[in-house]
Amino acid sequence: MLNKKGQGQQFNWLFIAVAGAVILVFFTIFTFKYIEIKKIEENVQVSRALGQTITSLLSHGGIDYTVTSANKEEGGFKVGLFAEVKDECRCVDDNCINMISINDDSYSEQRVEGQVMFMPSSVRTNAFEAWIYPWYYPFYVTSFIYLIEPGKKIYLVYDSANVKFAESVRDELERLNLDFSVEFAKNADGSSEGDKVVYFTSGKPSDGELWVIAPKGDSDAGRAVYLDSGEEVEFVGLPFLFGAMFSDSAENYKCNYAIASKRFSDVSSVYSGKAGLMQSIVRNEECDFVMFRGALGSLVGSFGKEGAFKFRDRVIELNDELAGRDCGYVF
Amino acid sequence: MFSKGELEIQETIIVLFVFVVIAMIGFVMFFRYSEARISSENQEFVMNRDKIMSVVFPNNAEIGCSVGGDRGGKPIACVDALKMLKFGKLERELGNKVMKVMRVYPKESGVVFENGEARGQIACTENNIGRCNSWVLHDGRAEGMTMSFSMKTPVLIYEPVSGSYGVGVFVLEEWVSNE
Repeated sequence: MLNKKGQGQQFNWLFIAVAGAVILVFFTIFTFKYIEIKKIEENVQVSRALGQTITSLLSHGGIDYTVTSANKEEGGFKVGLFAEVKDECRCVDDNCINMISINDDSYSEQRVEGQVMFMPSSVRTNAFEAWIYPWYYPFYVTSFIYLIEPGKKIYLVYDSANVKFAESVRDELERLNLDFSVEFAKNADGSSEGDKVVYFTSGKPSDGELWVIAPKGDSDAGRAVYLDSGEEVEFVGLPFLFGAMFSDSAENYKCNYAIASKRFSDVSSVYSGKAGLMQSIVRNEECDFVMFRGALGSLVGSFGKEGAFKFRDRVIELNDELAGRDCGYVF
Repeated sequence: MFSKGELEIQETIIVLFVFVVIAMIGFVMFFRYSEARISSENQEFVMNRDKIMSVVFPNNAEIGCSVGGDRGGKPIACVDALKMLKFGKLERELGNKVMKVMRVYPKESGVVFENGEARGQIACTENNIGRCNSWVLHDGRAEGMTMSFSMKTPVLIYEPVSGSYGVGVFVLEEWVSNE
């Protein structure tokens, strides 16, 4: 009898323990899942804040030289809580797009289509210094988007052979008046971890992030080497060079270079077509749009190469000549 | 036959089982709902972003006008009538949208809007430059689609040959499949 009562009590305890464990497991799973959902919500909010910043910048178009949003706060655009912001530029065939994600969360993925965007491939931050920079070659093509962590220190290290080019880069960065400081020095001795060190030297440096091989003569096409991976990339003018400086991945840079090239090819094709139409409409023997189209074709074909600037200058010259003969501007 | 105590335990097990089942269903539904809400809010955000970007689409260098010479082809806030004719030939992934520009001024040769309907449209081609008033930039409609969204934005239209300006509307329509 006593034995049976004891067994019953033991069973009661076992039952309470199992029931308690079930309830405990249930609430534990609920809590973890709830935290997961809240994290997704936060990631999505950060992604949206970033998306709004990009949209706000792009909606200004290329009408102004440099644009930062009206709601800019001190220390950059706040995007919410601290998060790991990743940018991956992917190309499928000829179609390249930037894909932003927050904390590797697929819900927060955002496509930035058809736009050239330079930013670190992965950065932990709660704010960005964001701006756009219009790219003219020689006509307006598109505006590049740049996103970097605010308060960064950028070291421009030069030697006597490259001081002129390095100065032009420094002057333009200072003119932008953004939330980062530019140190112009002959060496990077004063730099600390987290600073960006860019070399404008004849010889390849042993440390730092980027080694810039300045364009020769009147050319605007130079090369840059990512010192950690050793990969070499091409740049055409300061907008691309800034892209290489603010994008820490050669893959992302190349992908955005491809987007810019495609936009340039599209805009050139439209201008070539426009010139063709103007030729058929303007009944004036002095208006030779064929030459303009030829020079434009050569410019597109030589894009990124050292001698392309000659075709760029020729296109400007022919455009002005046509306008001077009352044929109208092509661009 | 079960004793009273055994019955009570069995009742409690059943109650606990039902509680767990209901709680699990509620749990799954709550998270499904939360995920669906996040996805739909995300979609809405992307749609709104796309709408804003579409409104500023006329600023794109591919159709926007520029003034050359010493101003270096600087874009100004208008669309170029000749560039619009060439835009359609570009390979662009613009989806199921309709994008067009219609000139409404000068009035005598412009499109007239009556009860939201555009009347007197003359589609622009390379053969009727200067004698037309409607430029179709993209038409991504397909059979069995309905319009889900439509928006009109005023634009300034520049005719490069005559050097004249007109006033128009940029029309953006979003079409979705009925299936």
